[in-house]
Amino acid sequence: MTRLSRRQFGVLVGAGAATMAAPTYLRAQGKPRVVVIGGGAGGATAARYIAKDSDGAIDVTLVEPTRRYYTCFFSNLYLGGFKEMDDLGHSYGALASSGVNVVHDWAIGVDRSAKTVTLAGGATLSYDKLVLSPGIDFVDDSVEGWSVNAQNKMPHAYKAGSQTELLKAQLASMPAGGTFAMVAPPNPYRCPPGPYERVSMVAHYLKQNNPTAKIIIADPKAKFSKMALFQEGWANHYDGMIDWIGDDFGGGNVVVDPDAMTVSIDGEVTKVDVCNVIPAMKAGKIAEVAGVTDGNWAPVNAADMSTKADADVYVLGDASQQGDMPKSGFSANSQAKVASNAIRGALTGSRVFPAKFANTCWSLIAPNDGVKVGATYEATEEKIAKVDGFISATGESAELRKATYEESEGWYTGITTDMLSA
Amino acid sequence: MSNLANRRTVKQHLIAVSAAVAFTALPAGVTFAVSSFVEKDTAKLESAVAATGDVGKNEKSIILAGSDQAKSGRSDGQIKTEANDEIEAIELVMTADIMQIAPDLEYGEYLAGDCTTCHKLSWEGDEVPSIVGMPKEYLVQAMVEYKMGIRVNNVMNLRAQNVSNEEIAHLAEYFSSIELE
Repeated sequence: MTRLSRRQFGVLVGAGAATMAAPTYLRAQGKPRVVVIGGGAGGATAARYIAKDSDGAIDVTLVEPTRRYYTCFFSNLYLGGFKEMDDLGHSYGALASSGVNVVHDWAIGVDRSAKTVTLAGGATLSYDKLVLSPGIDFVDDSVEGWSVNAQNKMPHAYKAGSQTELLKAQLASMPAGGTFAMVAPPNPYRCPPGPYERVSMVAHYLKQNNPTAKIIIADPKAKFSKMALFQEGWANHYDGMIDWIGDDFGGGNVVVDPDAMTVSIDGEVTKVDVCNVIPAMKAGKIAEVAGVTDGNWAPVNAADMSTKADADVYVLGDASQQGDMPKSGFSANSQAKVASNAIRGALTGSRVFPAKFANTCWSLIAPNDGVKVGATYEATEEKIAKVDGFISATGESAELRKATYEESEGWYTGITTDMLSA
Repeated sequence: MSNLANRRTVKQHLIAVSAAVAFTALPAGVTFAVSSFVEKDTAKLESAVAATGDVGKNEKSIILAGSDQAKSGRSDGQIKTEANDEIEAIELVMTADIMQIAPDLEYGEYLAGDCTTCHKLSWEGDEVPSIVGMPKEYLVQAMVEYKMGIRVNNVMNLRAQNVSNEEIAHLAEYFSSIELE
C-alpha cells in the first residue's frame, strides 16, 4: 500500500490512538445537529432518544411553543371526570436538564436548501437532520358553517388544553334535558376511537349530572373504530341517551350555525346546547411550510420516517402519511424510536436496526370498562404495513375490562415517562 | 411418547405434541389452543418440518392457536395453572434454547423501545409490571409463555408472537442488565 485515503488513515491511527478514534462522522464545524419541531409523543420521544443514545455526540434542539404539554390522550377522561387537567400536564424540564436544548418558540419557516429553521422570535437554527412532529391542523371548510374562528362557541377540543377545558365547562352548563351534539371527523384523523370514547365520557358525565340529556353524533363515516365495542357499551351503560347518525342516514350532510347554536343533519335542524365540531384534519402547518406534504399529509419512507420529498427531513406521528398505522400518540412514540435509531446511524455511524413499529389504543367506555385494540407493523418498500393485531371482544368479563382500564393507566405513565423523563 | 427429559430441538417437540394430542386429555383452555392448532396447521407443520423449515414458522402455528385461545374468553392476564406436561416441556425447552443464544445488548436496547412505552425503566409500581433488573431466564420464560398463549394478555401475546427467539434473547439480556439505583 503506497497511499492511504483519509478514511483509511483514520481507521489505522484510531486503532492505536484512542483520542483520534471518534471524529470520522463529525462535521468540521462541530457536532451534527438535529432540530425537532413539536414536543408531543413523536417529537419529545425523538429528541429524548437521539440525545440519550448519542450521549452528547449530537446537538439536539426541540422547538415547542408551549411550556407545559397537555396530553391529548386521556383528555376524554378529564371530560368524564376521571382525571384533573393537572394530571394531563407535563413539564419539559427533565428533557432540558438531560441534554436536549428546549426552545419555546414557534417554527415559522424551513429552508431545506440552506438547512435552516426560522423561529417566530427571530432566531435561525441550522440542522443536519430535521424532525417534524407538528400533529394536526384542521381542513378549512370541512364542516359547513364552522371555522377556527368559531372554536370558542363550538369547540373541537382535539388539541388538549384550553379547548378541552372549554368543552368541559360547556358540558357542565348544559340545561337539564339538554342536547350535546358532536360532528365526527372523516378518515383519516388523530385517534380513531377518540370521538367515540369522548361520547362515552360525556354520557358518563351526563348520566351522573344530567340524566335526561341527549347526545347526537353526526358522522360522515358508515362505521368507526371499535364500533361493536362502543355500541355494546352505550347500550349497557347509557341506554337511550346516544343517537349515532352515520353516513347511511345523512350524518355526513351537516351544516352548523355557531351563533344560533343549531346543527342541521341531512336537512333537519336541531337546536343544541353544546356542539363539539371535530373537523377534517391535515398535517400541522409547518410540514406544509417545509414543502414536504402531498395533499393533507406528509408521505414518508417506512424504513426510517424520512420524507419522500427530502431525505434529511423526517415526519413523525399524525402529520405523516405512512401506511397502516393509526394516528395516535402510541404510533408517534413508536415511529420516533425508529427514526431516532436511523438518524443517529446516519450522523454518527451507530448501528441501524430494522424498523419495527407497534400501536395500542385503549378506550374507556364507563368506569372500569376499558377496551383496547393493537397491532404490530413492519416497513415495506411501499408503506408501514400491518403484521398482526388484536381487538377486545364484545361480552368480555367485568374483571377483564377493569384490568384493561388499569393497564391503560400504566401505559399513560409509561409513555409520558418515555417521552419526557431525564 | 418419547422421553422429553432428553433435551431436543423445539421442532422435534412440536412433532411430539401434535402426535400427543390425539391421546391426551387436555385441560379446557389448552385443549382449544392445541386442537385448533392441530386441525388447522398439522399439514403446514409437517411440511415445514419435513423441509427442515424454520422453527419460527412452526412456533407461529402454535402461537396463533394461543391467540385464538385468548379470544375464546380466558381472562387477560391469566397465568397458566393447568398446563399440560407436553406444553410445559416445550416451554422449558424453548426457554433453555433461547438462553443459549448469544445476546446482542445494543439490539436489545433498540427493541426495548417497544416495551418502554408501557414498562417504565424503574421500580415505580403501577398497573404495568416493572421488568427491569429481573433475572434473564424469568424474562425469557415469560415471553415464551406469552408466545405460546400460556400467559394471556392481548398486548403481550401480540408482542411475543412478533419477535424471534433471537430477539427475545436480546431483550431479556437488556432488561436483566439494568441495575436500579
